[in-house]
Amino acid sequence: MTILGISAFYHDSAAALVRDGAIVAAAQEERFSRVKHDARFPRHAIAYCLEAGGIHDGGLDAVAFYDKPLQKFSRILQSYVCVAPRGLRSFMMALPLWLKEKLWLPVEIERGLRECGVHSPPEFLYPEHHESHAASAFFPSPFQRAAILTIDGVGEWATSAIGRGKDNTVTLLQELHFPHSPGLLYSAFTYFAGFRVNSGEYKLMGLAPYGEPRYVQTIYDHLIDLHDDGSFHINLEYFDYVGGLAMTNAKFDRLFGGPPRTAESEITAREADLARSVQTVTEEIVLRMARHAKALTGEEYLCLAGGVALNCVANGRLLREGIFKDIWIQPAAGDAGGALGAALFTWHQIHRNPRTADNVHDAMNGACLGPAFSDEEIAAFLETHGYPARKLSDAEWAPEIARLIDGQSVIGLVNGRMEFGPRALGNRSIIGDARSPRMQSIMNLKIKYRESFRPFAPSCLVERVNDYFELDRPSPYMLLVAAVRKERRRTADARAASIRDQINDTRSDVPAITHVDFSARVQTVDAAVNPRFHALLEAFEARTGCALVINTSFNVRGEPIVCTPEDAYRCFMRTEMDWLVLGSFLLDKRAQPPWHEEKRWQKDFVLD
Amino acid sequence: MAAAALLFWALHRPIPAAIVAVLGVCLLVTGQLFPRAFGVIDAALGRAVGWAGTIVAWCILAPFYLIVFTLLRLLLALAGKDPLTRAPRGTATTAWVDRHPTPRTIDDYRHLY
Repeated sequence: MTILGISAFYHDSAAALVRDGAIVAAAQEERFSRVKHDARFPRHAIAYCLEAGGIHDGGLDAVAFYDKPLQKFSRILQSYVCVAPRGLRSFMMALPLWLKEKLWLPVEIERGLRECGVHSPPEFLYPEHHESHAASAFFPSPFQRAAILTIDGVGEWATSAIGRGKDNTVTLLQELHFPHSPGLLYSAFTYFAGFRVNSGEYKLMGLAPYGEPRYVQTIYDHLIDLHDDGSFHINLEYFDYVGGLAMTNAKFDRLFGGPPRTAESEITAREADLARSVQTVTEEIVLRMARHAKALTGEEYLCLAGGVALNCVANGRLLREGIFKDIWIQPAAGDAGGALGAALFTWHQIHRNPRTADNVHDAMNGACLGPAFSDEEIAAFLETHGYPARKLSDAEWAPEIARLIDGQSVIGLVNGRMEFGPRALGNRSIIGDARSPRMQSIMNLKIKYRESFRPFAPSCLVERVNDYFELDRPSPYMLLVAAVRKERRRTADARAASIRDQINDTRSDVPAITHVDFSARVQTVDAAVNPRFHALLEAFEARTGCALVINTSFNVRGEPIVCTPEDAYRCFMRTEMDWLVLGSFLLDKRAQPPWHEEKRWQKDFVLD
Repeated sequence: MAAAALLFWALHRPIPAAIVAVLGVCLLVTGQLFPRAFGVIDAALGRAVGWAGTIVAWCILAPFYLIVFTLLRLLLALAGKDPLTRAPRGTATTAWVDRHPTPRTIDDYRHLY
């Protein structure tokens, strides 16, 4: 049985293909359309999934959409009823979209499938939003049974859910309902700090260690009424997201001493303190919810999904608190993962097919579920365009790239299948030497063209992770933050200095991946999951004694992560990257023909 | 051309029909001979249609919203109901809502609701 999962129309549209319970392919639409967080119907992603699965007309048994659109529409209408006559402008923006597109979802899906060559429509199914998230968290996890916690902005009515996963079923037990939402609370502060909602949340998380938690009590006193079980009531007197066009209102401004920061203006201590404060509150919410989930289900393991589950600082704290024996987080925890969850839900829960789990291995294939390009395809691309390149043999591939990294080069790496989810895990990555004190600034300002405060993550040999970090288990999806080991730290407390001084501080013997609070967002690399990337790290360690490299996504600010060799080459030539690796081919920037573009390419990308 | 035909035969308006027909032919010829110029015209027409749609939407939906939704809000207030549970619950110790564990069938998942 072959099932296509779809998420669409809000942010991060995606498609996933599941055949007899195995995940065949999954990808976000943005990677193909080159529009960051693309919310449109994922035609390209569906076409890719069908091609990857060899699906032709009649080969698809079911299509699962990741939420129930009419329940969501009902919630939106009821929200407007609660605020009318206020909310007119928001209503006028929202309703035509619903009338034109979202209410006719089966028609849209059928049209999209026809464009992909599927003319006989299969069965259409609609699990709830948080059922899809829960399914994406539990079914691919290594656990036979586990508690499930899904936390995001909002689905139909639910903004968070607690459930139990056992064998081939997930059962949601409790929900927190709109407008009381951990995700929307975090997004409100993201907006207030001058970053884009549904996009800049991870920046707020990265900014938090530069600040002090001086607004935590203010948040508890005025914004939320937090209960012991992690649920809370939000005080809508300070927010504008029900019926308004902004996340916060004038009362919120007064509470925090002025209007929201203007995008791209200087980041002040106020924004850093706000970031730290809401991060502290969010961590407290997540911890209390997890304790409640443990009490409610009695389970020893926890599975997480939903946009808030991408908050790797909270995840790291959750792990350290030891509430559960272990946790597993869906690497595409946001709405994109809902496509996969909907498909798996259909297979296991609706059609009652069995599931196996060994408590060790997950079913995500290292999240490498996207398109791959063979050396023949890459050679044809290079030859067509006349781009000079050197083909590396298998034996010289890893040592040669390790040599270049050791020589302080910045390298774009396209290798194997593209990752599913927001993180680049070594297949669509920019890599560099983490030992360099200047590498964070170089990569932020000259390669990524993004804010200099933003930290970089390390990719580390899984067998050496405990030598560098206070982490005793794998973190294959870069979703856990752990502290750099004390003996590797250089300064006692970097937080005394200004933000600018802190950025340039050498905080450890791997300064480029050590954040100002000595934390790092760790990815462990396992030879069984990504043998080529593992071999590269081994070669780098053999050469330098350092078992990790910087790994950041292969894109510039506002651009989706690259997908094809063409995307990668374009990004390589637009930035100050030194080398590009496309499969087995190595491209030297100095040898490439001059790069000309008629228009300013930066205009193509909306900054987040 | 269909609009011109409608005007001419159904509504018996030869002059407007001729004007529409001439405009139609001009557009057709422009499209064939000068595709880039036609692209500009097409984009402008698209924008005009978009604006017209927005105006029509505001004319229909805005009064509907202001009258019907406001009235519904008043009725909810009179009934003491708030779907958003905005009022602080005072002594409430949780905001979690229990889900009813009714077994669902495949038919439940075939619905958009």
